[in-house]
Amino acid sequence: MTEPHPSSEPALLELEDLQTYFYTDIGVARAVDGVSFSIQPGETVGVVGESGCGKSVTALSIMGLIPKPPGKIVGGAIHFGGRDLTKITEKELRGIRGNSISMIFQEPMTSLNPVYTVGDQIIEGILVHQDMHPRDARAHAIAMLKKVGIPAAESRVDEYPHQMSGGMRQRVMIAMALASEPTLLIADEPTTALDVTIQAQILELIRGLQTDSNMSVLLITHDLGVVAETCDRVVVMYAGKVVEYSDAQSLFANPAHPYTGALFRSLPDLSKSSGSLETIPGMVPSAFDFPDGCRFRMRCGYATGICEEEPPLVEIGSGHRVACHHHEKAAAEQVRTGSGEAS
Amino acid sequence: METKVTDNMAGGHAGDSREDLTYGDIVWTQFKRNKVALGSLYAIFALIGLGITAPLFASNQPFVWDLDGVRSYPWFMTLFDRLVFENPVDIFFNLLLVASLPLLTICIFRIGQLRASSLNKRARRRKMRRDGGLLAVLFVLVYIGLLVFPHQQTYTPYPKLMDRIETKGDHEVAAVFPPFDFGFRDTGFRPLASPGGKHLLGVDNSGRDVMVRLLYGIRVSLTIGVVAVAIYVTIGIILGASAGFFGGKIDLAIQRLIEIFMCMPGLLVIITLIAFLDRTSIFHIMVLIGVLRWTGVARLTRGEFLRLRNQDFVTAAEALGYRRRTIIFKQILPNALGPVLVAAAFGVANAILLESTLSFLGLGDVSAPSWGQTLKEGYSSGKWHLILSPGFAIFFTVSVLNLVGEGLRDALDPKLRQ
Repeated sequence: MTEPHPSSEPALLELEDLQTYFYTDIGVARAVDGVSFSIQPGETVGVVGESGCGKSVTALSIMGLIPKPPGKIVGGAIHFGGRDLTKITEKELRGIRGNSISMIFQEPMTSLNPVYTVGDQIIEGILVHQDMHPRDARAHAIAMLKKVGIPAAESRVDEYPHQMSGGMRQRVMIAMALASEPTLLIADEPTTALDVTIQAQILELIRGLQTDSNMSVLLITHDLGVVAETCDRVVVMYAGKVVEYSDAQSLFANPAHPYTGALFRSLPDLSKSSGSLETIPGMVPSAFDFPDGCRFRMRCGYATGICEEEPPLVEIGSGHRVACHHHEKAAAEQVRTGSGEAS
Repeated sequence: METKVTDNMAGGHAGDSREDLTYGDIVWTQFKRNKVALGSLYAIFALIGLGITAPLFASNQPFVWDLDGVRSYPWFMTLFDRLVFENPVDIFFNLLLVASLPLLTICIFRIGQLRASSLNKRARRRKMRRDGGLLAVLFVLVYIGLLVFPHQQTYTPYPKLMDRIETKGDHEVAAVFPPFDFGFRDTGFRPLASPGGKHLLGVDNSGRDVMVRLLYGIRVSLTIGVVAVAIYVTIGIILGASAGFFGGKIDLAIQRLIEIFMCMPGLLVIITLIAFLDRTSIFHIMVLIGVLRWTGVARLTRGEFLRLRNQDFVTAAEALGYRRRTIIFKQILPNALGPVLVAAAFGVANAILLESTLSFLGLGDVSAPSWGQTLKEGYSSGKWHLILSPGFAIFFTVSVLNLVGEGLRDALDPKLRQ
């Protein structure tokens, strides 16, 4: 794993205080409210958090796919390849999407167009960004299918999505996403909808393809096990904000935010057979009315009066940052034995 | 990098022929189960076939004309003559008639060639689609050429000429005519003659043979139905797709437009607009139906687009950097076409009925032998057999089209699928 040195070499992607709001009839939803992190070339960064904490909106903001209206990027910047993706035109953005930044989605069953063969869909994606003869594009599509481990690619290239299993379709999605050799792959819960055995294969596949091409991966997940297996650095999000940001090792060894600690405790632990699993009481507050100050304080065991003030994101170790007034106390109590435990 | 794939992923179904079905195959299998709809579809094909081959049965141009040993072939030479066939619709069907033999030969030859090749089913289909498209483009180009550069010589009613020559008796003449040696414009038969002899369905007020008029009327009526529907399906899809895809203000504006058009009493608006025209042609009627009847298709398409707009594969297409046009027309539209297809099948029947209504009210194209026109002439003559035959032709065609539409609707409905 690489040591996190966010400032030592130019980052591939850098989010700077990104704010994405949704303006609806019942109010303003601050889905992403000041998120900053960066991805180095070749690195895998995980974004973890419960449902509704802004992970997917962050990803869609990077792709420029926030539905407008009602969504809008109201502040901050997304630096990629020397450009700010929040400032460029839709046309320039289209040149980046699927070309230097690709994305794969959670639901392989519905992410492929049912009326075209998988081959036609990959070919179409290639032809959008590359000046290639359709015959060569077809050969490239077959090569991509082989690369993602689809057997008998020459014949399966002419199959329709409904003829394939979920794992196969996710492989096809990956083949589509990687066909134009992106420098950044955004994977939005790529394994959530798959069987556990297939999950491991898909993660292994992404990791293998990544080392081949020195591509960076932004992995969005709520599964800490997946993070432990694949990520170099981790961003923990809660209610539209980054609460902890660290390299994977130190996060797993010593989570400093009470929320991160609670996430770890709600993982099943095979070494302890007793009792029911711990849960985090309550729910993520609605994005329409986040509380002032620390947004986790209603569900937090450490909360005191000071938590009504906004906690700053402070650096507590090399590249390990946390936004909590009580991080020292929490970190001391949440030390875990060995970092690979969750996997 | 190649990953090892376990058995449960590979799934044992590669090459399984039952799985190797396209959506079209499934719908067709389902459609075939409905015998009434299938029979109706064949009836439509038969009608189209009759429409195409009409000149083979009835024409005043002989296949072979021999005057003092000099042979000519007027039937073939005048197929595209705008003095014999004034109406572009007839030129189109005549071109189909002439092209059908070589086209069929090419198709059979090409399909046989592809069958024999080692290509798999899908590659074969792709090639067939491409070749079919090429032939269709060629056909349309030739047709446009025939319209732009009209071929006009002389219009000779040969049966009368033959009579004249024979009575004079100074030339040797021989001719091979179609079974009925008169066209739909030929007058001069005894008005209101009862069915019988050469006039199987009788003769109308103006001395024209009704059966031949009905035969050529297939061309006119079906063309009016198909073209009017093609116009309004195009308008409806473009407006409905824009409303459903973009939403917001565009949707609001298009929805208001739909409501305005739905409020108009269609028939009265058409009657009013026709009143402004000097001379109604069937093309006016097609365009009027087309621009007034698109609201249903627009609403259907809008609904489908609203449903499909938020599907993951659309977001995935956006994430791949596709242009909006590609997403609307290539990614979403094919998924939204089912209900539109059903509406189109019913729409053709409706358009035929509407044209008959207009003709019956005396607002149609008097030069084209549409069924409504024949019905009106029969009605004004007061003879029951002159009303029955065009009435039955309309009734039969409209019923058959509706039955096909219904069969298609059931075949596309996944709930009724077996």
